Formats: sequence, C-alpha cells, structure tokens
Amino acid sequence: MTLSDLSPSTIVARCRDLTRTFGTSGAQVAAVDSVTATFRRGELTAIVGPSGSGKSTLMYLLAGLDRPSRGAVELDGHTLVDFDEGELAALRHERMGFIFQSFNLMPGLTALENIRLPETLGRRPRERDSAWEMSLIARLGLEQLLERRPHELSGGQQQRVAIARALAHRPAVVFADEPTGNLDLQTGTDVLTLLTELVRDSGCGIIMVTHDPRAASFADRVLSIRDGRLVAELGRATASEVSALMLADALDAEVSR
Amino acid sequence: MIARGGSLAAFTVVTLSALYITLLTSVMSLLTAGLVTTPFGQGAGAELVLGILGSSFLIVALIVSTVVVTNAFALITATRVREIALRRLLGASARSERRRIAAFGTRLSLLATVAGAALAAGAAAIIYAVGSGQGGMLEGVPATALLTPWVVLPLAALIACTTIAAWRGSAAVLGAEPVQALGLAATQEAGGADERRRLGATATTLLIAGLVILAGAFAAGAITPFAALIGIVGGTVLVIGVLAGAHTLLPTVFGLLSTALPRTGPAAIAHRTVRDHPSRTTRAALGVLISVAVVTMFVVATMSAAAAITATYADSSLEDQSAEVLLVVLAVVGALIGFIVLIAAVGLATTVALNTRLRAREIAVARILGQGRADAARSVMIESAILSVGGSLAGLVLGAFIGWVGAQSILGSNVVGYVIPPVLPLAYLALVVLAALVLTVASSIAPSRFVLADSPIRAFARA
Repeated sequence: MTLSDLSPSTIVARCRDLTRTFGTSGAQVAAVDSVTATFRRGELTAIVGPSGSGKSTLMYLLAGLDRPSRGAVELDGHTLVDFDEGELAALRHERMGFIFQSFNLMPGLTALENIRLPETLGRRPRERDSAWEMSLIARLGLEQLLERRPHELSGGQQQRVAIARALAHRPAVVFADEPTGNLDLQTGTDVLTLLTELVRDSGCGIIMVTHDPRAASFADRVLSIRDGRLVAELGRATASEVSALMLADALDAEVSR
Repeated sequence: MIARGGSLAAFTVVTLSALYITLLTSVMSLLTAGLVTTPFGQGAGAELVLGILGSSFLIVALIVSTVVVTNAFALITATRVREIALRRLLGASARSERRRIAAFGTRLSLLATVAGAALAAGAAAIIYAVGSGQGGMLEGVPATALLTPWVVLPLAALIACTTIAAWRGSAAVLGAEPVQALGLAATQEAGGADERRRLGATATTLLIAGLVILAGAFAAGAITPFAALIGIVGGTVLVIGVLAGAHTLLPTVFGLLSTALPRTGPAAIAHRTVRDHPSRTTRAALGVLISVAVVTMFVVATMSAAAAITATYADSSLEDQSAEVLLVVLAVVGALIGFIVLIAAVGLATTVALNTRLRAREIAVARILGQGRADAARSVMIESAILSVGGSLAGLVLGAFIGWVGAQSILGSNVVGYVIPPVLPLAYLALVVLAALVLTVASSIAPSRFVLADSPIRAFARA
C-alpha cells in the first residue's frame, strides 16, 4: 500500500488559473492562459489540441518542469510553487512518471536496467516493490525481453519498457507526451489499451498529451486546448466525437478571426 | 560555448604543438652546432644522443596532438550533426560534407601552425636578445644559428597529421542521416555503443617483443653500458605496442578503476559512458598516458641511478641529494614536455565535452525523471576522473618500468650487485595524483556548465 492508496482524496493533481506567458512585456504570448482543471486517480485524461495550442506547456507546468507566470499547481498534495528546483526533482523522482514520444530509453542499458534506472537517480535510493515490478513486467509482456538493449527492441516493445519504467515506483501521476506518436496504428492501440488497464490497477492518474483524436478516444476524459485556453471538456468520447470537437474549435477560431 | 569548443581546442593544440616543435628544433640546432656546451659533451656521440632524444620528443608531440585533434574534430562534427543533416536533406552528399570538414581541418592546422611558429620565433628572438648579451649563454652566437631549415619537416608532418586527424574525427558525418534534420528520428545512434575490440595480433606481438628486448637490455646492463642501445629499441617497441593496443588496454584499466566505484547513481552512469565509448575515451586518456609515462621514465631512471650510485660510493647525505636531484629532473623534463602535458589536458577536456554533448538527451531525460543538478554534474566529473586517473596510472606503470630498465641498462655494470633497485619517489607520486585531480576538475567544468545551463525540458528540446 502506498500513500495514494490510503488517501481519502481521489484528486492527484489540479491547477488553478494557470498561466504561462513568453516574451517581453511588449510582445507577450500566453502559451497557457488561465487554465483551471482537476485530475483524478484511476483516470486517463487526454489533453488534445492542434500544434502550438499550448498543451505541451500545460503538461510541463503540471509536472513542475516549467514555472507558471500566474496561478498554481497542486500535485499529490504538494503546492509546486513552494518548491525549489531540487525539491521538484525529488518530487518528480518519487511521485511522477514520464512516457515520451521517442521512448528515450538509455541505449547502453538492458530493458530491465532501464526499468530500474530511476531507482538510483534521486537523492534517496528508491525501495523496489518487487511484486509490483514483476506483475508490471508480466502485464506488459516483457518477460522474454528483459536482457535486450533498446536497439534490439521494436518501437512498441520500447514504449512498453518505458511504461514499466514510468509505473515501477507507483507514482501519483504519469505524464505521457504523444505516447503513440512514433508507433503504427495497431501497436499504438495495444499501448493505449495497456495504459487504460494500468491506470486502474496502479491507482495513479495518467495525463496524456496528444493531437490524435483516436488516441484521445481511449481516455476517460478529454480536455480540449486552443490558443492556451481550455475550450471544451468531454467524458468518454469516440474518435469521431473528439475529431468533431477539435474541428469545431478550429472553425470557431476561424470565425472569430 | 561547447559548439565552438572543438575548433578552439583543435586550434590551441596545433598552435601549441607548432610552438613546441619550432622551439625544440631551434634548441637542438643550437646544441648540435656545438655552440653551447651540453651535459653530454661534444662530438658525434653527443650529437647522436641529442638527435635520438630530440626526435623522440618530436614524435611524442606529433602523436599526442594527432590523438587530441582527432577527438576535437569528433566534437566539431557532433555539434554540427543537425546542420549537416539539413545540408544532406537539401542534396549534399555525405562525402562532400566530410570533405568540407576535412578542408576546414587543413585550413585550421595551416593557420595554427603558422601562428605557433610565429610565436616560437618571437620567443626565440626574446631569448636571443636576453642571452646574447655580455656573459650570457648565447654570447657570440650568431642569430642565424637559432633558425634551421629543418624545422619545415616536423611542421609539415604536424600539418599532415592534423589533417588526417580531422578526416578521421569527422567520420560521424557519414552517420548524419538527412531525416535527422526533420527532427523525427530518435537520436539513439548518437549514444550507441562502439564495438568492443580484442587485443590485435600486432599489438600482442609488439608488447611481447618489447618486453623480451627490455629483459635482454636489463640483463645486458650488468655487463656493459651499451645495453642502453638495446633498451632504446625495446622501449620503443613496447611503447608502439601500447599505442597499438591502447583501445583494449586502457578500457581494461578503466574497468578495473570502476570496480572501486559504487554500482549506482552518478558513478554508474559515468562508468557506463566510459565503457560504451572505448575508442573515444581511449584517445582521451592516451595523451595523459604518454605525458605521464615520459615524465615518469625520466624521474625513475634518474632517481634509481642516483640512489644506486650514492649507495655504491657510500655517500652519507643520501636523502638531501635525492630531493635535489628530483627537483632538477622535474624542471628539465617539465621544460621539455610541459607543452605536451598541456596538450594532453586539452585533449581530455575535449573528450569529456564530446561525451557530454552526445549524451545531452540522455542527461536531460535523467533530469526529467528526477535526477538533481548536483548528481548530473557529478557523473560528468566522475567520468573525467576515471579517464585522468586511468591514463595517469597506466602512464606511471609504463614509464616507471621503462625508466627502471633504462637506468639498469646504462649503469648496471658499474654498481655493486649489478642490479639497480627501482626508485619511485613518494613526492613524485603525490605530484601525479595532484595533477590528475586538477585535470579532472578542470576538464569537467565546461561540460558541467553545459549540462546545467538549461532547465531539463529545454535541454531535452534542444538535444
């Protein structure tokens, strides 16, 4: 049992009036503009939007990888603005997991070493939950691949290793940045199905950034972002519903111009 | 900063080498002209000894600068992969791109050689102005004696060597695929491991032959001082063997060093970086190895010989004298190879910078996953420590061995018991350790700054 299992709250992360501007006062652009949102345990939330909509910046702010110009983020009960850089690193190490578009496994390490890599990265060595690690490896179908190096694995296999790495320490929140962006359709579907199953079993919250309506259709909740603003929110939705939503946003934008 | 670092390192190294080569040649021309008295006396024998010594220093300088420039150009290429990929996407061929970098290398080495030679001429002019006065060492010596047309030969060799080094160092151009310009391809190959190599037949033969000949010189030293000639041959063969087998020998030394380090955290990352790039790290430590070996050889040879002679002639003030001898030896050898040590230091710094550059994405990912700044910097410093300590250790062993055999082969027949015990002064060991530490810190400063300059996410986006 970890803390998040015992916690009465099901909220793993939330942000309020979150704003991030770039540039000097003369020519300021708000990449993220007054976003207020809540993310829950056991829930896969997709943040969708076209390129440049600010969805990645929003994710960086939620993960404490970027500092907001205004507003606040609360993650696993911690208010991120109060944290210095070292404390943020420690929080990422202990309470967050990351899945990237380009997998980003360490090329010199085997799959198993990659899964265990974060254990030794932080200030304090992390306890290994062997039973959970084994069940993760089994669920992701990695038993036969543990001794292989990343270049000996297919894209889908690499991403499954990355998922194991992100979940091995039972984080409160996992951030996934276009996790299927480098995968073919079938492999992408497999990876997303695994994510929807694991989000329930592990009790974490997954926040996935994507511009792919099909990927978003696997989510429990879809937040649509345009020009840095939260413009719509859907529950479970089909790919065509998400497409329609994104298309409608785009049309709105055209009309308002 | 690091982007320009490669060119700067290459330029500095070639300039220093040209400066060193020109000065050394001038000094040799003065000495061999018999215009200045030497400790070796006058005549053909002294000229031969001077010639051998001088040429071996020239060759050492050439080898070290070639090795360092190769790595500097690997760094230059690594920092330009995106630009090269873009040019290839727009239609340039890999070969023309590589030729472009090699041509840059030729221009750079020409320019740097001229700069170095000019600096040396300036230095020689100052030395002459000071030394040719009344009672000076160069009194009555014509100014032209400082200049010798022969200097053109080693300088041309330097330009040739660095051009070849630029060509070899730019090999990574061939791996810059046009698609990389689109930013789609995962840049895994940059961090991919080199192939591990076994000790080749040539290297093994040379190493064994060198050891056998040195053993012969050692034994013959009990009979005649001419054993030194056998010793020179044996030492040369052994050193060439070490150079040929360095890509296997040095990684073994690094591996042994790493067993003393913790298996986790920054040390594990540093160990892995060194292990996965044997050619690059070998080149880095080779310069250190050669410099330390040359100094150690002279120190051990002189100190062992001095101790044996004092013992034979039963002198009472042995300790006072040995400290004095050590200082003199260090001063002379230091003046002779000070430049080479400096070049080796630049080379090590270049390699650590290159490794850090190539691992930029890996480092950024580790920081996103929660590694702190201090740990990221620590892994760079440990990597540099493995290289400088490994190179120094190997150099100490090699230099001490050859130096000891050298002392024995020259003086063995003149001392009681016919065997000279080896002497490696503790003060000198401490000096080497100190130098290795300074080198470690100095060479990891710039790469650490590079690692820590940006927030993890910006470093990730840029890598």
